[in-house]
Amino acid sequence: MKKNSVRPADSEIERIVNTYADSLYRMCMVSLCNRFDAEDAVSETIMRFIRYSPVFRDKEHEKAWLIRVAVNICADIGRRRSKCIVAQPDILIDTLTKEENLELKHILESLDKKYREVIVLHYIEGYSSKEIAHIFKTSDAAIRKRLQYAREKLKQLLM
Amino acid sequence: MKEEKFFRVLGSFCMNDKKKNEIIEKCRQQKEDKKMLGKRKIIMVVAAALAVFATVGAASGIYTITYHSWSNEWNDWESMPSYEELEKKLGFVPVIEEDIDGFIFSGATVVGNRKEDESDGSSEKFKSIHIEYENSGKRMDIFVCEEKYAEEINADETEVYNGIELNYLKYNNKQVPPGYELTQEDKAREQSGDVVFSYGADEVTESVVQQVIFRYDGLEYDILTDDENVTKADLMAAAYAVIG
Repeated sequence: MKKNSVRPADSEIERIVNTYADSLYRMCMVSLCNRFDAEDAVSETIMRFIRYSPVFRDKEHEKAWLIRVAVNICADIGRRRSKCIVAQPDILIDTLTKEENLELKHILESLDKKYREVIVLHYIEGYSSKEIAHIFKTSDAAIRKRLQYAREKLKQLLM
Repeated sequence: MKEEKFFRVLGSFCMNDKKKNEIIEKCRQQKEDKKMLGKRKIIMVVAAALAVFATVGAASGIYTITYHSWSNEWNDWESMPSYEELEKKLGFVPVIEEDIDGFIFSGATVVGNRKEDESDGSSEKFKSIHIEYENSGKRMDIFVCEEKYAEEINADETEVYNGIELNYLKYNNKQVPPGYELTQEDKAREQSGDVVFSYGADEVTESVVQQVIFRYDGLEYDILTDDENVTKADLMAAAYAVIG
């Protein structure tokens, strides 16, 4: 745990990027369904880390802070995007065929953003409903309910 | 797509190394820029009658946000305001202590603000409150606004109290009249991060400003002093008192 930190050293920047960029990218990808926007959101999240130089209790607190900031940035990007028409790339991930990419995009876009976010945090990042509730500043029960709906909706889409 | 594949694909989303290196480079650059401009902060013109000021915050060099603020020359409250009065006049209710380690509440004023965002040309009005404290001639001010209107915080030091991040800043502040034109020396000092300019004072004065800024319960509290007899510990004690 850092105390009275002034600003992250260069090695700290590299540590944050190398440790969390992929997790943040997954979160931003499912939130925005656009790789370029997701990259920008991750970049802005880490830039804010540098600007604010926050102090954390432990690594979990640090990761939760970064995810919360990423969620907020994705929401801002989403709001800006809703005000103008932006061409959306169809390719989300290079390792899939074009058809598979389109299918994946369709599945993700058929799910509400709040469901996509809890799915990736719970099933991919391994967060408990309580931890997700802390990130989204809501109740554990609300997140459990959200996860339940997300699973049900996903099952319909993946049938 | 099968469920198993769907989750496998989600888990395989990762950012390429080239992009990661770009972010690292961008952050390094920002850190360098921050050394130069890190002290460029909004500060209130303390005790100014009909204070009108604008301070520019260039967050990332991409766009500019300008704040204009004004208040009456008289206090809205000379004694502790009630919950209902605050709710009615201000629209939100901050924590206000009557006595903070010997600093006694001496008045409070509703401040009108207008935030202009150059990125989308938007302009938004909002209210904040300026609360004054005194302790045997020593002065401390607390400014509170809703968190959604808060500016970026470029802290010199940060510590956590009851889970709340307390950001401490200390810098030279030169208060100048509206329309004051910066001299070459002023520009050099501002560029080096040595001084922050505030517009709206009657005459040019310079002082050392200390601030403790934190976000709590949807509001941003900015505890500020330009009184050399007030210590960092005094400001921190005020923050602890607000958080409880």
